[in-house]
Amino acid sequence: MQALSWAAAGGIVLHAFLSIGGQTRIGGAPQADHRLAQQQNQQEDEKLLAHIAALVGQLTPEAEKTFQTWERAVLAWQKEPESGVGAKLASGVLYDCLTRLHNVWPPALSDHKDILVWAIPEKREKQAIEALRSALRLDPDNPEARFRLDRLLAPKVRSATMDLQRLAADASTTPFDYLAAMTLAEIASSTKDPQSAERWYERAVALFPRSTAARIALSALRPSAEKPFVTELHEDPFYEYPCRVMTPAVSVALSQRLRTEGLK
Amino acid sequence: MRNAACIIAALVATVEAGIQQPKFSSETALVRLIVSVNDDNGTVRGLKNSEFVVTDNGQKQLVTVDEGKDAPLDIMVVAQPKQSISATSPEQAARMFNGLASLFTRFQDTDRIGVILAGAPPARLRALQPGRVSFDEQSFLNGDYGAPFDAIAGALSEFEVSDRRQALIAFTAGVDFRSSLTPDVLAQTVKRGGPALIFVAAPIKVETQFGPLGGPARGVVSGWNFPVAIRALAATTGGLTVDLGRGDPQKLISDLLDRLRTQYVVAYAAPQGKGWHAVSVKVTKRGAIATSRAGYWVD
Repeated sequence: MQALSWAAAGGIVLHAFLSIGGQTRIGGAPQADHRLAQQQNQQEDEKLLAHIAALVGQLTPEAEKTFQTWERAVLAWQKEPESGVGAKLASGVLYDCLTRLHNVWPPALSDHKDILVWAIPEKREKQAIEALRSALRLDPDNPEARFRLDRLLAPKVRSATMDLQRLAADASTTPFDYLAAMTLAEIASSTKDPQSAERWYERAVALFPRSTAARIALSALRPSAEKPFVTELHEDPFYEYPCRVMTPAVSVALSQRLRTEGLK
Repeated sequence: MRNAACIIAALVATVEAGIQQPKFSSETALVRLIVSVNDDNGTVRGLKNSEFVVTDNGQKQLVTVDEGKDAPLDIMVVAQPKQSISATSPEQAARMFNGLASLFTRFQDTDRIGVILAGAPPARLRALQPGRVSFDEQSFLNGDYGAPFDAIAGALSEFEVSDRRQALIAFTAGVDFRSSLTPDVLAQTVKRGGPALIFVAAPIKVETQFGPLGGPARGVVSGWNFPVAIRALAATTGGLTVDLGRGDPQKLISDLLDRLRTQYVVAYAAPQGKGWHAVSVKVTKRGAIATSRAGYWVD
C-alpha cells in the first residue's frame, strides 16, 4: 500500500490511500520500462492528489442515482428507431451538466471504470460536444444545441463566440438570446474585460428584465448599480438551464423516459 | 456595492482625540479598519493605540483605536437551501442548520440583520434592518440548488455606509454549480472594500472508491476542506472560516458573535495614491494575532 499525505493551507490534512492490492500496475515489464512505468504511476498519483485537494463534496447516493438514471434513459432513447435530435440534445445536456460539478467527486456513470478520475471532467465535456454536434447535424437550427455547443467552445473557437453574439441579438430564440448574453458576459469576466462584461450583462437585462443573475453581476462589477433584489422571488432561466433541457418537447420526452428508467 | 466607503470615509466627523492620539479634522479622509485580535485564550481586549502597528503600502501609520465592548452589528446572513447542501451531505446540512438557528438566537435588538437565501436564483428574505429576527427553517427549504457566489455578491450590495461593525456570514462550503460570478470575480469585488466575509460550514468527509490507475487500484479518499478560493476571500476581507464539524456548533457560533462585537476600529488618515493599498495590522502584545482586511482599493 502506498500512503500519501500532505498538509494544505490552514492545517488541513488530506489523505489518499492508493491501494494497489495484490496486483501491480506494471506486470513483467523489463527494468527500463518498469522505471518509466513507475514514473508514470507517480505522475498519476500526483494528479490524483491535486484533484482531491480541490474536492469539497461528494454527491449522495440518491443524487448520484439521478445522473445514472438520466444516462440510462438517454442511452436507451438513442437506441430507439428515429430517436432524432431529442435523444442527442438530452444526452448533450446531461454531459454539459456534469461538466459543471466543480469540486465534487464525479458521479459514476457506465464508463467510470475506464477513466482516470481527474480526466472525467474533460471526458464529459468531449461527450457533451459530440452529442450536441450530432444534434446539430440533425437539426442545424436547433437553438438549444447551438447555444450549449457554443458555450462549451467559446472563447477558444472564435466562430462559437460570434455565434453567441448572433444568438444574443436574435429575440426569436428566447431564452437562448438571454443565456447567450449571460455567457458572453461570463467570458468577458473570465478574460479580465469588465467593461465588456458590464455591456453583456446590461444586454441580458434588456432581454430578460427580471434577471436576478445579471443584476447581481452588475452590482458586483459596478458599485453604483442598483440593488439587485428589488422584486419577489421568480424564475430565472439562467439558474435553470445548466442541468435542465430547456426545449419543451424534448424535456417532456426525456421526463417520460426518466420515469420509465426510474421504475426499473 | 455601497460599502466601499466603510474603508474610505471621506469628510468624516472629527475623531475623538485624546492625549497622544492623532487629531483628524472634519476634512480628513480616513481609512477605517475593523480588526479582531485573538490569542490562545480568545479575544484580546484593552489594547491601546500604541500597541497597534499599522502599515499602508509599507508606510507606518499614526492610528486611533476604538475598542468595541458590545458593539451593534450590521450582518447579512447568506444561507443555501437545505436540499442543496443535503445533495452532498445530509449530515453537513443538519450541522449547518443547527449553526444557522443558533446564530439567529444571538442577535440583539441593536443589531441590523438582513437575510439572503442562496438558492438558484438567490432571493432576499429580509433587507438589512434593525430588530431581531426569528429563525424559520421553512424559509430555507425553497429550492434544490444553491448559487452561493451570486448570493454573496447580492448580499454585499445590501450594506450601506455605516460606522458599525459589518460582516457577511455565509453558510456555505462553496459548492456552486449555478452562479454567474466566480470566486475570481468576487475577489476583485471585495478588494474595493466592504465587510468581512465569514464562511460557516461543516466541510464534509469524502469517502469513495476510485477506478483504475493504469491498472487495478481501489482506494479511499477523505478530507475536510474549505476550497482555497473561499479561504482567500475570507483572508482578503479580514474574515474567517468556521468549521462546524470541529466542535459544538452553538459554541462556535457564540464565539463568532463575541469576536465580532469586540472588534477594534482602527482609523488613520488616508494616504495619497490610487490603486491597491496593502494593509498590515499587527499588535505588540505577545501571542496575540490581529486580523483585518488585506487592503483596499482607491479608484
